[in-house]
Formats: sequence, C-alpha cells, structure tokens
Amino acid sequence: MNQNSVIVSLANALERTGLEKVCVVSDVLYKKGIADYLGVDLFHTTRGRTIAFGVGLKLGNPKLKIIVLMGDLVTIGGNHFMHAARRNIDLTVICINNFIYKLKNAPSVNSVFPLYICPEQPFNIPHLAKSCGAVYVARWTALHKAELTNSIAEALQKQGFSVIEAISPGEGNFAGVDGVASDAREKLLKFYYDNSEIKDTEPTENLAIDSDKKIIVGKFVDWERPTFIDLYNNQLRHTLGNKFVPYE
Amino acid sequence: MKANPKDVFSGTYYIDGDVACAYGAAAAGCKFLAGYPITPSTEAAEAFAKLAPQIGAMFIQMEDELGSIVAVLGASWAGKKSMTITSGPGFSLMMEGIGFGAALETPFVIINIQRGGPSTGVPTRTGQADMMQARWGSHGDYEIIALSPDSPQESFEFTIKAFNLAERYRVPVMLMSDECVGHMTEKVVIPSASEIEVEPRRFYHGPKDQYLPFKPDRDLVPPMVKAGEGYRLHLTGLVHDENGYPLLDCDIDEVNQKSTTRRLVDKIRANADKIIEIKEDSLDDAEVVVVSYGITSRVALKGIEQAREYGIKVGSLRLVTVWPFPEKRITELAHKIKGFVVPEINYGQIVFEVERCSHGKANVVLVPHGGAGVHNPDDIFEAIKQVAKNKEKYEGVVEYRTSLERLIFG
Repeated sequence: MNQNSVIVSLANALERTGLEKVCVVSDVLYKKGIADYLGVDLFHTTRGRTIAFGVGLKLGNPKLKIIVLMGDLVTIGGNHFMHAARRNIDLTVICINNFIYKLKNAPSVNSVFPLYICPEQPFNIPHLAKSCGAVYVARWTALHKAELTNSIAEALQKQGFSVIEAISPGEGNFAGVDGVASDAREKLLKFYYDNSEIKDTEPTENLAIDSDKKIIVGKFVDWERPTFIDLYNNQLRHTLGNKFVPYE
Repeated sequence: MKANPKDVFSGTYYIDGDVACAYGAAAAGCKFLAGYPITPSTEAAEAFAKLAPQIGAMFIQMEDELGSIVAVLGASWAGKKSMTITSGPGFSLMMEGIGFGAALETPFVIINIQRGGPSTGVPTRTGQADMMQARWGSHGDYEIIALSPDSPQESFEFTIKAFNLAERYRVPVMLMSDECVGHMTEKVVIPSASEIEVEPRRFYHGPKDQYLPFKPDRDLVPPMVKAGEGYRLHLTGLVHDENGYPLLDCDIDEVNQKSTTRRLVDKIRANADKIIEIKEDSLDDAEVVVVSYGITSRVALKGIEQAREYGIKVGSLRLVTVWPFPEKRITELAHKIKGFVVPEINYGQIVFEVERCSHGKANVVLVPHGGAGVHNPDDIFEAIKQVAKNKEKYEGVVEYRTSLERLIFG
C-alpha cells in the first residue's frame, strides 16, 4: 500500500458523507481487502487510464460516485485529466504527489533513482486543474489530516470535476534502499507539513512547488458549472424535443 | 431474449455499411459509444450519435482512442452494453485496452472499418491487413472473437451477433469490416424487434457475500455484476485469482493453479464449435476451395463463377467468424481437395492459418493485394486454374503473382 495516510482521510471522508454506490479507480496496486475497508468497488486499471475508466463508469451509470486515485503528476494519461476537467465530468480526483519530480532540499523520492534529484519542473497541479475547468481544487499534505478529509468530503458532495492534490511520500520507495533511514517517511511527512503554509486565496498561478518557497496549501477553487451529463441532456432535449429519451 | 422495440428502427433502408453497424448496435441494445473519429469509420459513429438520444444511449467523442476503449470498459462494468468504432491507427492505440478488457472479462464490441496499408496507410481506401492484429495485438495470453461482414446487410446483422457473443462469453468481439463494405450503399432490411434475438448480460443472482467475480459457471464463463451494487469488487489487470485479487506474492505453482489466464483462452477454445460460423458452397465434390472473408468473398464470387464455367469443380468457404478459426473444417477439407486459394487484401495473414490447418495435405495459394482496392476477379480465377491444373505438391504457401504485380514488377 502506497499512501496510507491519504487512504485514511479518504475512508473518513467516505464515512462522513455516507455515500453509497462509490467506485474507486486507481492505477497503483492496493492491498487485498482495501475495497472492503473503504466499502467501495475498486478498479485497478492499466497505468494512466484511471480517469478514462472513471469517465466510462460515470457515464455508464450516472448514479455512481467515482473517486480516481492517481499519481505520477498527470504524466501518463494527462490528456484524460485535461479533457475530463474540460467536460466537467463528475469525478473526484485525488492526485497523490510524491515528488517524482523535483524538490531540491528534501530527500528525493524519485521512483527510478531514489537517491538522485530529478531536475525536471513538475506541473503546478492546482493551476492546471483550474485552467482546464475543474470546479473544486485543493492541496494538502498528508499530515493536514482534518483539512484533507474535509476537502475530500466536500469534493465528493460536489457535482463536477474535483481535484485534490495530496502531498505524501511514497512508502515503497524507501524499502531496502541503502542510505535511507528507516524513519525517512515520517521525516518527509513532517518536512512537507512544516514547510507548508495555508493560503486559501492564493491565485493558482503562484502555486508551483519550489525548494526556496513554502508549499502553499489550501482550497483554491470552489464554484459551479453544468456537468457533461447535464449539458448532454439539455442540449439534446432542446434539439430533439419529444423524440429525446434522457440518458440515465 | 427479443430486442427492445424502442431500439429497433424497423424498415427498409438504402444505407452504407458504416451506418448499418450503428443500426445494428442500437438493435442489440448498445447504450454507450465512446470513440474518436477516424476515416473510414466516422460515419458509423456519426450515425450512432444521431440514434443515441432517441434510444436513451450516449455517444461521447473522447480525447483519443486510448481513452475511448477504456471508457468503453468502464461503461460496460457500469452495466451498459458498450462499443467503440475505429480504423487501423486507432485500432493500434486500442490494443492496451483490449488486453485489459480481455483480462477483466469485459463484454464489449470494437468495430474496425479497416483501411489499407501500415501506419497512417490509405485512410479512404480498403484493406484487410488488421486480421492478425485483431487476434494477437495486445500482449500476453487471451482470446477474442472476430467477425467479418461482406455487405451492409451483414454489417447490421453481425453487429448484433457481435454484441450477443460479447455478452455470452464476456469477451471483446471485433467486427472486422473494411472501407469497401463500410462505404458500400445497398438495401438493408431491419426486421421487427420480435425477429431479433438479443443476448442479455449474464448477471449474478446469488448472495452478495458469496460472489466471486471470476468463478465460472456454464461454458467456463463467470456471471457478472454491475459496479456500485455493493459487491466490493476488487478488479485488476494483474494476473488474478477467482476473487479478482492479484497473484503477486505467490510462488510459481500457486500462480499457475489460481490464475484465470488459462480460462481466458479456454473459454473460447472449448466453445469454438459453438462460436464458429462459416458459409459453405459446393464443397462436397470440390477439387479447389476458395477461402475468403469480408469484401473479398464477394469479389471471389466472380472468379469462382468463371472457374466453374471453365469446368473446374470449385467450392467456397467463407469465414463469418475469422477468430476463432475453423481449424477442423479446413483440415477435413485438406484431405479431400487439391488445394486452397486464399485471396485477401494483405500480403498474407489468414492464408497462413489455412496452411497450418491443412497439415501439408493440400496446396495453399495466396492471392495477395496491397490494399487501396479489391482484387481483379480474373486473378482469383487464374489462381484457381493454377491450383486445379497443378499435379505437384508445394511446400508452404505459394504466392500467386497478380496481373497488376506482373505489370509493375515484371
């Protein structure tokens, strides 16, 4: 299991909202029993295809509530992210940022070269999500447990494309790597938490994560616009009149 | 089960093969199409998009084919009969999703209106060169079913057949049409709903806590449930056991013992006799048999007619289901005849299956075509003549040089 603390927040949020008919789509492996633990159906897809699968589930049955757990910072399958946001398909995307790319001062957690620092610039995920049209955007570190749980619960109750960036070290990266202390994960969690600053009103263009700045966390976007299914039904009802059979 | 009258647009139409596919999908109960436009398949998606809001269905133009195929899988698990429509380049992008769909035993249909050539190829012209890709395109072991229509009427009928097979065996089913059939406009008769047989999804009806998503009942096929119904599904593209749990920490014996991969293959192979459909003509006393599929089988008719006038006893075997391949029937015939003539719009794909199944008992002649058009029937006639006259036994497949190739290459 990769991201314990985020999963705990998700479980708490699910309990709080009391939602039924929930599906979780993920492209990383979770342990057996996670579906029972969360009380959901879990789909482990090919990597990068989580959002596309979620889109299929949601459109296949609009009564479902879909949670997408994704990592890799909108790289593989990034196109699906942008277009699902643009269409405002009702998905709750939890994007777990474990700094596959760049965070100079922190111990690097690049999954391929664990002890090196990746020089690439990562996406500013809240800004990307907002530009693409997401209706709810927040960012928290995994130690902001109450805030993260709140945000997930709020996002789940919204209709539309919601994105929560959760900053959390990947546990798996540290197992058996020489030179990395056994408590590295805890230290990193604390490092992220200590170097963060809550600023809900910060414009999203300022949210890029850099080593000489604090990580700005908070809820940045929360507004309403019609979802894809609303638009589909409204448009076609308008065009076809009596001949239209609503999609449900 | 009979088709829902609301989904069937009964009547006599003058439409092309692409549009006929859309009517077939509607009649079969398809409620979700995710696709990305690509010549020469776009008309099919467009036609379904027009029908969709009248039958409570949805069409979504996804961002790409990778997304289309995965959205189709998602919608199928959500309980909707689903399909996608594409052509060669899109078909290549869909391979990942086809493997994933096969591994999760997801019923869905892919309509591939084939174009000619590799890569971007000849978008507006025909080809039959995706046949092996349909069978082997995604990595790892799995089986699929592929059908090949030769007319707009069959495009309608086989689309329904494709959905029925997909639901019966929980498997990806491919309708391997081509540009010629797709853009050919002919009379299509859509019968009334009471005349259309539709396979309902095989839903599980037992107690919730005892459901194992990959435990087969009849025909080696497991019953299915919908996502979000409280079954606590754990589904993964990893090799998994009957629970759906991945087999990662097991030793090799345990993986082989518990894995469902073997059954992905077996459920089609064991039921092959029930799935396979071929159309035979004058095979009883034939000395030469033309094996063909799709548009080529219609072109071959002329060549066969010419050969009969010439006095050759020639039979025809048309593949309705190309995959699984009718191995037994080909072997049976190989023992009785001089040889097979296999015209196809590629440089040799199905002909190697014919050769494999003839076990060296009959000559096998390929009449190739590079795509962007169909065969000259004279070439098929000449190839039949060559096989009929020949007294020696060839090794392997012999390629017939068509008149066009002789003209170009001397």
